[in-house]
Amino acid sequence: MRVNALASDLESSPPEQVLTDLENIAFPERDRVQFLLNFGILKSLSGDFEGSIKDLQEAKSVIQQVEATSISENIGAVAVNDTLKSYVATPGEQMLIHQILLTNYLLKGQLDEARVEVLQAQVKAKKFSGKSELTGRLASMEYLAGLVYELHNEVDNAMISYRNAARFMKKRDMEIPDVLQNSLLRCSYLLGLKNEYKKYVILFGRKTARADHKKGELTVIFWDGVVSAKKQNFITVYVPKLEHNVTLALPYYPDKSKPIMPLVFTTGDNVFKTEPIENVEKIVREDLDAQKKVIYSTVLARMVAKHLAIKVSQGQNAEGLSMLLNLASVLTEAADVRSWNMLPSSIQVARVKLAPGRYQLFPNQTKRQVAKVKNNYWNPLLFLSEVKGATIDQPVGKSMVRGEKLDEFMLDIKAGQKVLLFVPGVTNRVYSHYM
Amino acid sequence: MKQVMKLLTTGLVGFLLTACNVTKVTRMGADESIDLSGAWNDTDSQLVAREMIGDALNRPWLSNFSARRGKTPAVIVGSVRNLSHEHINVRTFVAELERELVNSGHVEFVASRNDRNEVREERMDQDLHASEDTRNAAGQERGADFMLQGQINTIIDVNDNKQVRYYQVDLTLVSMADNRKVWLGQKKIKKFVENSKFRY
Repeated sequence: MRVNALASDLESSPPEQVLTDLENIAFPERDRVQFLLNFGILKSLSGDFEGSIKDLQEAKSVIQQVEATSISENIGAVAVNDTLKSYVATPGEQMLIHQILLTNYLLKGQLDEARVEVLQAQVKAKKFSGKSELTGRLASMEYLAGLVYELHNEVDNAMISYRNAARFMKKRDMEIPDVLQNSLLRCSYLLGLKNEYKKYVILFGRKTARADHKKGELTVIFWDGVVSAKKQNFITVYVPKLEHNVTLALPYYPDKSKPIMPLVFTTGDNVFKTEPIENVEKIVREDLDAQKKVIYSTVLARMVAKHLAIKVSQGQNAEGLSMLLNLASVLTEAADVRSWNMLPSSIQVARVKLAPGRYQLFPNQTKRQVAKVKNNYWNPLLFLSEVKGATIDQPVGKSMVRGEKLDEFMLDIKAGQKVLLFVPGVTNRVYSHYM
Repeated sequence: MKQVMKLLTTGLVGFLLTACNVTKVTRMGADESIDLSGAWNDTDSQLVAREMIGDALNRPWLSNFSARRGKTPAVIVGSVRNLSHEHINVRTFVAELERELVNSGHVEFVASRNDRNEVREERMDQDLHASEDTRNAAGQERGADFMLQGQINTIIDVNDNKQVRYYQVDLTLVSMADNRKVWLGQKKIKKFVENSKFRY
């Protein structure tokens, strides 16, 4: 619960502050994964990519250990509540670990290491494939995998990843963004897949842009907002027939998910905006839906176990004990609302070709921006939204990359150069890597 | 009897809880093999380096070069790329390769690009500060005759809690004079990893 409160602070406090607050919370070993994941993402937001890699790699290794079903924890869950189980990241979260690691490695210029994350994510996807077609399959992971493959000049592998990304977006009723359309057009053309290329030309209504080596390529990864936190539905009623209280606590996500807001940037003559490649709100809800069978059966087993304990005490005429058990059954009931709750609400991408030169991409960004415009989906957030809070100076450690304030950031791009920008929306900062 | 059972159960639970919190350290030889996760480890690194360099030194390129030039060849290790599914510390593997090559005595070994820069800086410093009789002149470096390059690839097949991990290490020795590939080495390792479905 305290972690959920801290996650909501992220939209108004700098990540360094939230990280310090999180580090001050003593957590049980069973919550280790959840804390490592949040440490990892907060370090990414703060520009400590090395620290983030360390925490997320550790989280991966702990997940591998706690994935095995624990007998004692399950007994605890049936007797008391679900929070006694070790936190194991959901399939979607596990894929996002690879994705954030991939981004960290790219920002550190470690291309081969980023490719390792792509391959590990593929193994993980294979492992999840038995559950359902979409379990743990993320379009954003596939898109970034395609980007990494292209940076390695592996256009054939990139094509497969882009196809997967389009497939998953279609399955989730998301529109295929221009950025992915361009990738599909470009790769199918380069690989000489004539029929597929023709299909895309008809579908997207345009041909691939000519390769222009006199221009540089800018890729922007934008994390918008903070994902919703789980809440609990708590019901306790006295059942006359059973002669005691029955209590139920179930986790849920609020129905209304946060609106997706793009990041708008300009090169003077042209205005560009990022496009959503992943709605993380949707992914976390899918994951919770997939867990519901297990959650409901544990709740049912717990109800029966608590009922039997109370009945036994009532049968022994131990009224005091019976009352105590009745009270305990109410007080100990709690839904498991743990999640990786500091994830972005959506992941967005833009990829544009720019003539060599110096650009102030975000000239109007002077303060932290928080979305207030809820209804207009494509309202250019960074020009129109209301302002809350002030920018915060970022302390920079030894291994940290200094993030620049959006309005102060100047892009210097050369012909043929590739530049990656990482813009975590909650920080008002931009991290860059020139490849 | 009930009391005894209660005591035994309490004792057992207490023991298990205590046992979980004990850190145990056992010293072992660096060449002993222990597989914990099934991932690429020090044993794989040592084994592959030893076997591949052993193979390289027994191939005709070495005797051909010595016969033609009348000297032992100088080798430099170029890049060994990690294209596998794991974050492998390629530097330790490269260090193993260098060690095996140098210790064989059949080839000479020249410092890598990064190491060379440090040596050159020291030589420049010697020019200014060392006495004439101890100074080492620039322009006397031994150039490499061959460059060793390679990559580590993997194929992983996974089903539920079982994995087959296949590693393939490819090394190539390229002649610096004419880009000829004089030796191609390959080493394969296959592991079956099964993770427990249950834990205490």
